[in-house]
Amino acid sequence: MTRVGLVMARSAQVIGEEPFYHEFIEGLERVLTPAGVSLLVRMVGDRAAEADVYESWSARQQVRGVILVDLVPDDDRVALVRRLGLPAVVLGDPSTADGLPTVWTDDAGFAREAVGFLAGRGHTVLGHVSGPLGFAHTQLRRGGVEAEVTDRELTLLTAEGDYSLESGRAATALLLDTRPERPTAIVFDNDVMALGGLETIRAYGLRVPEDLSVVAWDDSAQCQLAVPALSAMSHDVARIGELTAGAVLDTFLDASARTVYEAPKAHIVERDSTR
Amino acid sequence: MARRETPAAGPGSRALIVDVVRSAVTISRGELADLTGLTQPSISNIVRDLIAEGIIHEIGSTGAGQGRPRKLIAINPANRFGVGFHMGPDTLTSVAIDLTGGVIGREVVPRPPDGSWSPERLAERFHDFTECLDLPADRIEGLAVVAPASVPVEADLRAELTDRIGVPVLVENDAAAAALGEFWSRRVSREQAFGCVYLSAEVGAGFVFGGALFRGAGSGAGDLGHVSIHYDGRPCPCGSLGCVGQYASTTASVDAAREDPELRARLPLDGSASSAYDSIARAAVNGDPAAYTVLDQAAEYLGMAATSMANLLDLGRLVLTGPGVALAGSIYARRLRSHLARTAHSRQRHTLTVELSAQPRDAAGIGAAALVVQAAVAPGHGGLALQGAAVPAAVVPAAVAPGHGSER
Repeated sequence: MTRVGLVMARSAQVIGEEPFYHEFIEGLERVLTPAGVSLLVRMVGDRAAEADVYESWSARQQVRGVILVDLVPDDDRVALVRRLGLPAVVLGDPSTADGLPTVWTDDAGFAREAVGFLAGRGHTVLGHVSGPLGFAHTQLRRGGVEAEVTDRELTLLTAEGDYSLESGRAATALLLDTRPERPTAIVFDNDVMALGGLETIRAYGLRVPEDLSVVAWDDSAQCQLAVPALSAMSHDVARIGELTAGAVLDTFLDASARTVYEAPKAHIVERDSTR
Repeated sequence: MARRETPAAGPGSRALIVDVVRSAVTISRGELADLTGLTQPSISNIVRDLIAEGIIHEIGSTGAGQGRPRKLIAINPANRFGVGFHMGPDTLTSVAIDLTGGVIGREVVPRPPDGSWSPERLAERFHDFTECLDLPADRIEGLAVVAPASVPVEADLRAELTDRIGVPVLVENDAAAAALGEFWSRRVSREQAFGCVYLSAEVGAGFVFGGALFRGAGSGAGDLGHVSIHYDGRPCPCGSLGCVGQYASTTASVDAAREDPELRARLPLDGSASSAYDSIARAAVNGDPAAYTVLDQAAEYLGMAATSMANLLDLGRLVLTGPGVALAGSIYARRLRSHLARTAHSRQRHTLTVELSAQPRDAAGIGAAALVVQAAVAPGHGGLALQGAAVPAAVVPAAVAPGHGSER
């Protein structure tokens, strides 16, 4: 049996809540399973434990390749898989991958688009609740938000979360406590934090969308079911999974390929949380 | 409705304590006494044993100020593990969870070329999976194998598999397992009359009452797909007419969508039923009116059957899960909520919450692993004794005794 490994250094709790990874994995398997390849997903506590897993998988020849996610600038995992001779595909920006094949989403571009969407509705003071700023994709999104805000001469307030519901609540409280200017619209880097944000906004006695508009970065069933239903930057996450799986199968044929696979364009799905 | 357990410290007290700690997340011994009706000394003894076994740990104190601080206890997640296998038509999903229900590993493998999962192959799968996760053999509490109600796992598989892997083996249907998984990982308290609707190529349900999975006479409870919603409706292979599975399963929705020529031209519906269904679901939530109508209609049918089920059992909390609600769960949840709010008999007396699963695609595999975890740390729910790993005599035969275990 040929196996591909995916290690995630986040708490089982956060992964369990996050629809992004469930749909990503579903897409991966739609391509890998018919090709006779299995996908092993393993949760670990931190990055050191993640590196240990690659070492032991490689030593015991338990996987034929790996998928790297949540890259940081100058990520040492890239050098590690090279040293181990493990074929690898990076889900992230080509700048983080040092030539490894990547499946690339234009985080900065879509972040600009989200800002443009809100600016077009007359918002001038925006909030951005990001994921962990150590991640390269978070920095790219924040960079995109800042660039668009500067171009349009808007005001930006920022806070950092860790993709969990609780961090969405706390970051939102931080933004709402800002004086003199409170944001009239907030972009959240995932759906779960946006749901936490909705709770906080309600606790502050504010209404969505009358007082505050909310946009979630990933779309999900929970976003759609929220009251009010959340407008979202919708990515075809399962398709990103399928592309990644295809990239992995390509590395089995040619391990030296330096291909960049571009993810399908994201788009805003407008629901009831924005005006 | 709240029901009190008997306060005597019998063999069920340990399960009761684990269950209350699990649903409370963190709790003090004093609060445990209040909630369980057990005496302080019995609680101290049981908690001491649970700490020694690594099932519970102390995680700090609270109540600074007046009197001495109370120590808080919680389930110790990372000390022991349960493994679940969910058999699908083409694949087998393996899941490992910690004691709180957190997934620590999963893998989907294709069905073997000749189509059969022999005990030998399942044992190989178990060893391979647990080795890739570096799970120490002595911390694995067991394996549960679950499959759709229409293709039950063979009865003699259990004993043979137990012999081969050296840990107890349980067998269950997928919807029932999913219900127990949601009960465990959502920290539902045992006072709740809890139900789960499992939407896939079949329609299933599972129930957890008083903390125990309701199995019926032969692990067949919860066959929601064969609740009829139309007395002279579509024929079902089961022999009845109008079974809701013929209207609301994911395959029924794919069939309905394929009959619409415009939808067929617009969406990729010619591949596998599961990818066709996901295309419909994605289009439906992104504003395609025809795709939305197909699923909303299915949800309306499902709402009819779910209302009958909720009325029959007077449920207090219902979770929607299974691959059918992964992308378009909001359509089903909204329909069920409005249907139940309009028609459920209990609507004047108590609330009936309808929620969406956080991990609908893996719910059956996670649930399988949760069956193992519950049997190991809160035994006494359905005669599934797991103690004495590697001792086949400790494992009851596949034909599970009806009822809920002797001590309850």
